[in-house]
Amino acid sequence: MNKIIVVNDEIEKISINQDIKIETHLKKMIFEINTIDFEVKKNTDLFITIDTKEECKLQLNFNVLNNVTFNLYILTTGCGLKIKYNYNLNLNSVLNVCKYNRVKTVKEMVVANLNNEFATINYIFKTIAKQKECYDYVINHNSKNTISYFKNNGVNLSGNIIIQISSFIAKEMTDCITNQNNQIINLTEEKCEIRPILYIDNNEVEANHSALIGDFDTEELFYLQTMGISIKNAYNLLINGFLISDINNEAILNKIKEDIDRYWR
Amino acid sequence: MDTLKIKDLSVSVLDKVILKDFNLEIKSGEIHVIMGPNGVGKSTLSKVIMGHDDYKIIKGEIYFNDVLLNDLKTDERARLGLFLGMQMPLEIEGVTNADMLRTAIHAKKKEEFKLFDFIKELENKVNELNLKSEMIHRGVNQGFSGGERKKNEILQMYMLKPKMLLLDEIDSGLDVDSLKTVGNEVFKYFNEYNPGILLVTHYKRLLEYIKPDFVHIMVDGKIIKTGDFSLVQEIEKNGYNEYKTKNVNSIGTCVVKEMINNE
Repeated sequence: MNKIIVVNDEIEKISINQDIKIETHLKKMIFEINTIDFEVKKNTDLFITIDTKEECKLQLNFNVLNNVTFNLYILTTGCGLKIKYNYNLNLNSVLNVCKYNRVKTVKEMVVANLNNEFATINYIFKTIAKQKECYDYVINHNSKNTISYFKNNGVNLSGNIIIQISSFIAKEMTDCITNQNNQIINLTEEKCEIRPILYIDNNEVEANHSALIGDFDTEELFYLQTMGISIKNAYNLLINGFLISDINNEAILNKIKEDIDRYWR
Repeated sequence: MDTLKIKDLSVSVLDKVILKDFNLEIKSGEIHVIMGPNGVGKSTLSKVIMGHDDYKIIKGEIYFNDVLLNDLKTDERARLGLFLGMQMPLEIEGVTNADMLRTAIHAKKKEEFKLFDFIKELENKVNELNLKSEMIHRGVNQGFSGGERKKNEILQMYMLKPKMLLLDEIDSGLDVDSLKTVGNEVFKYFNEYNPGILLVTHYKRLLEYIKPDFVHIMVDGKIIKTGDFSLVQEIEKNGYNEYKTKNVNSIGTCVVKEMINNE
């Protein structure tokens, strides 16, 4: 698998084949931020690790070319990160994102542009928040027959999580599908927010959103307890299931399990 | 010999009395069926025995083998050997059947738990029940049909080997073939392990596979008549009209307040 290690806002190690072209634009002025451009030319995978030793800012731009399926795995660790992801998807391209944050503070902006027909983004994101985490998603269905599926699962351990997610489907964009599935398990008294927004100007679309903030369902806990599982272990099972479901990358899976062991065992 | 004993049990939920002075004793090797109209407390009974938080015991005791269950947590009751088969088993995303069963059996056996033995037994049982082997790695009941959910409960029952089965309308939502499978499997388990069974059902058809020793008619939170299988036939023919009390609201808010005050 192609791999890139980013430390703070610069690439430290890179191991990629010719399926992906990379360009970095280092900041020239103090108010600018480092930007890395990725052009994905063939079906491929990429694992990006971003480790921040200090609070830093970064922008990553992805352009997935026509008829390409791109699997992107992102693991962020460290102190603090302000980051913007731009995903541009072209004709018949598929982007599968699987992402886990274990950064202390995060401010993240994700813009997905589905620019041509049959462009599809499947986005799975997990986090365990210890401080403040803000996520802002903008999903632009810029062509008819485009599909977006976003699933954000967060466990708020001692901070707060704010998720704003907006899907835009203009009048002429028929037969689009947009699906937002957001859930925060809040284990604190702190306020968490999910703002799901669907700007739909066309009747011929499929649009769903779910937003749930709270603890686990008491009936689920009761069900597990009827099997003889203690409340503590029932919680562990549910948190484990909540955080590892849909994760299809072993490195990310191991990191999540490591954190589950650290916080809940 | 295991015995579940319910003595003068009164239970409320949201200030409404659901069970009132309820008495019942079930021993190993006995099959008790509770029948009755909707809303008389049949499902409540099994949840109360398992210690569901929504229900408050106003008075009375529940014993399992002389251990008072009233203050035990649900998982402690389950580890003593009680098992609740639910009317509509829940779907839990992300928690696999295998993980749930492994955790449950580990909690029960502790140091005696052996992972290899567990995997072998689980695989064998899945094959015996004609379940798809991949289902054990799927989320609990996730994407299962009604029949598959009930078969999954049978699998859980065989893996946990409980001494007392509380089966709450396990026939609901089953087609004829699934009903036969579930009924036969429960009766097979009964013959093999000799547990006590408390079965809640509305219909006679399940009782063609699980032959009851005692049939109880429950109305307004208490058993009002006990008989043998002939009582089921009578209910099939005449319904519950003659058993329904004239004043259905006799159990209610006023009564629970009065009972709490008298406590």
